[in-house]
Amino acid sequence: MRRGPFSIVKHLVLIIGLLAFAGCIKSDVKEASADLFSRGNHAYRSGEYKEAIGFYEDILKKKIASWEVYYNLGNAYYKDGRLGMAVLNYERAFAIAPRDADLRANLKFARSRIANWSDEKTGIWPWRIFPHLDQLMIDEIAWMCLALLVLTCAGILIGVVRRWPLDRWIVFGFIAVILLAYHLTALTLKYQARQSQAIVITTTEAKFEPDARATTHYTLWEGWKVKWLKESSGWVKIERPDGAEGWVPKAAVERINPA
Amino acid sequence: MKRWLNFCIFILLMVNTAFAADLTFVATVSANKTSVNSPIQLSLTMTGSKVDADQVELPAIDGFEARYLGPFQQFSMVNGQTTATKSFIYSLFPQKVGKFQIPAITAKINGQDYQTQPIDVEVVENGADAGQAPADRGVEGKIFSKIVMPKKEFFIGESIPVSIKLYFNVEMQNVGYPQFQNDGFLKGDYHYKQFQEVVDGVQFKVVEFTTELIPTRTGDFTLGPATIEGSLLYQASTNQDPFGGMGGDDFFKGFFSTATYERRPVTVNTDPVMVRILPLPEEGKPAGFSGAVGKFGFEMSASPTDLQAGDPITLRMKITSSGNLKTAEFPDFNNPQFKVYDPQVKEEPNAKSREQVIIPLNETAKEIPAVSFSYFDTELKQYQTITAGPLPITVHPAPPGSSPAPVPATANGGQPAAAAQVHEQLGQDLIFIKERSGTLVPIGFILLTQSWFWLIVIAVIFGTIAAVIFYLRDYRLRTDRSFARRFMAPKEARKGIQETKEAMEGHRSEAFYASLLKTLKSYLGNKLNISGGGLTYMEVERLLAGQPLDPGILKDIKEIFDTADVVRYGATRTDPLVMESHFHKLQTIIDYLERHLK
Repeated sequence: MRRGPFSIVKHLVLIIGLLAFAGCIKSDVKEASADLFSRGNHAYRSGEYKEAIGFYEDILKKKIASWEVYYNLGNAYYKDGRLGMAVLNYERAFAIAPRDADLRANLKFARSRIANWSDEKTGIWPWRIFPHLDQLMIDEIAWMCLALLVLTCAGILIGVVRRWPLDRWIVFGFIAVILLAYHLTALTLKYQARQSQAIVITTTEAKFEPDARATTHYTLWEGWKVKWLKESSGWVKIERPDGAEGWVPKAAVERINPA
Repeated sequence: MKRWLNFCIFILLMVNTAFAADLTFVATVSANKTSVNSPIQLSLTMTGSKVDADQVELPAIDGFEARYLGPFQQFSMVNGQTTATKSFIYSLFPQKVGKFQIPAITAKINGQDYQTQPIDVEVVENGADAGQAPADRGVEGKIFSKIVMPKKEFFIGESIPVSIKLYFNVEMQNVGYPQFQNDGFLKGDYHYKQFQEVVDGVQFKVVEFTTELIPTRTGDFTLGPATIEGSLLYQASTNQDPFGGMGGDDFFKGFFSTATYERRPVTVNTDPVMVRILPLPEEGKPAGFSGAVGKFGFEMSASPTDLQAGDPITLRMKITSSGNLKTAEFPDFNNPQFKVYDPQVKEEPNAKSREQVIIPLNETAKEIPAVSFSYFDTELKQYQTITAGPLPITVHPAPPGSSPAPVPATANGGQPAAAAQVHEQLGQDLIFIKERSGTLVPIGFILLTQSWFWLIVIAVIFGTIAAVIFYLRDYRLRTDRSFARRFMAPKEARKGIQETKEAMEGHRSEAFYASLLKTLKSYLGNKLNISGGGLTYMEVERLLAGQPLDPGILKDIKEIFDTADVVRYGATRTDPLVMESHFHKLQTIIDYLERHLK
């Protein structure tokens, strides 16, 4: 895999951000998970995709994961004919490793198989304003915001000590505010998206009411990305990318953020 | 003539030698442990492309009486090759209890002497366990199996060759593949072969299953027992000779009798085997080590090596090994002087190769840099690094107006490309799975939900605010004397008040009033930014005239000034109550002015 320019940053972010948790994942759990991963790969190579899915899911049952686990699980689901679950796991991997070329390729390939889906439908106007932030993890943006805050505070201290003139304060303040506002907005949007996005794992019908007897509003195809609005009595209210809302059975959708 | 005769003799000798070279002469017994009343069978078997031998005369065998049963012959032809087998069968009747040895037996075969190996036989008392077989022998002492491994300690990731051998000297069918628990190991496919082997003087048919195990965890493990299922074929009954009376001869009996055979399922278990899987040492691990364990070879080549800038070069790397190739990863090739395309990897038996297209961007590229492949050698128990290259190349500047050569199909996963500058094409199928599980993290971990992250944010913000406030105050104190005096006035006043109080408690009226006046003057001087030493009440009155102050305060100030002067210059003693009253007035004055004086 070719390493991009953010590779070192990404690894630094992971290391710094997870220092507090490093000791919480015991070494025997890691070793058992690595063993399950190897078995899953072996089953995948042998064409036993269901068996491979079982091994990868066993890792997730330990409440730990890596983007490689989600990626391989996505492949296994795709090969097993379950497009919705494949897209869901690719999206989960994408949240952790948005710059991996293989993952992007597989996600794009899987999306190309989704019925009636077009990436243009996402209406993702914020991402037109923040295009490069699609390449960053939410934690990376958080660290960038913190770094900008530290730089801003350092700038303020320097300005106070060096007795900056007013015009320099204005310029500094303008730049700092713009950068902070831009990244904080992107962070907020990305966090909200992560918390609310879901994938349709089985083709279903969206109803006007949370009732199987209610009128069907439209069909939601397997693999579609929707917005999870609220949950009630085994039904979930979702919003399609074009804004159309509807109620679907909870079993038909699953949040991208599994926590 | 003489020459021709010599030539013929030479040819005959060569032929006979050829015939003799492939001949074997083996002695086997039906059991190497029996009881006194149970005879065993001794077979002297000669095998070769041509066998010419008479009945073998047995030497005297201590502990046994021998009786000759007869000969047995067999021919077979496979792929035009003829094999003849001639056996002489004897019954050996034990005469006494003890351990005996059937000595080496000599026979003349095809005019040459051949000799067998001696065989040990034990004779036990009647009723003792005469049929006791070695500990791992199975059904009826005629079937057993075992796991064979070259050693008992391996490294994680090392390919472990495992052989499971099934021995039997009965009729067996439908033998299945061995099954055994292999937690902590990846198991490869089985291969098998059949042959014969003599064990403790008894000839067995052998089916050997071979596979490879790759350990994925460290620790002590128990392999097996391995279970092999099959069917025993045994004679259930023999029908009567229908011709009666004529069946006395063995020939007729065999010709007319009909026997029925039945199958009985049988399960054969091996003993378990303990293995220890060791972790790879951290010491000496090269930076580029990717997990290859075993014995490896690595080579790199490139073609063409004389080209124009912008033309493609096919870079080939090959890793060879008889061990575990799955964990062997090719070293990455990245160099700013080359444009690098995605590689294509092919797997072959005991090797894997990679082809990758690279394009020198200009004529300054003089060589393809060296790359290194590291692996852990399990025999030497240390890391080894093989470096291939650098490979010199000659890159000519591209003539102006020329178009670069097309990138070969291998650069784009088999899809044709029109020119060297084509964009990377995505494949029409999924890209393969990842081999490593990567860094495992708690599911759903987000920095924004961590309290320590927000503590850092708050600490940065409040720390900055505090630093600014303290710096500005410190700066003003250093540069604005008036502000500094006003800032320090209460602190200095508190000191003066303390001294005044001590003088009051010591009934030292002169010292009391001196300190009282000094404290008041110093405080007023600091607050009004004037010299306090020579301050008089008239000056104080003038300076405070514009302030909206309580007249009572001015009156108290005047009283203190007047009384202090009287006591200091008049040398009179003052009543302690008066001193206390003046002390409280001082406190009141300072407290009032601190709140109201601007």
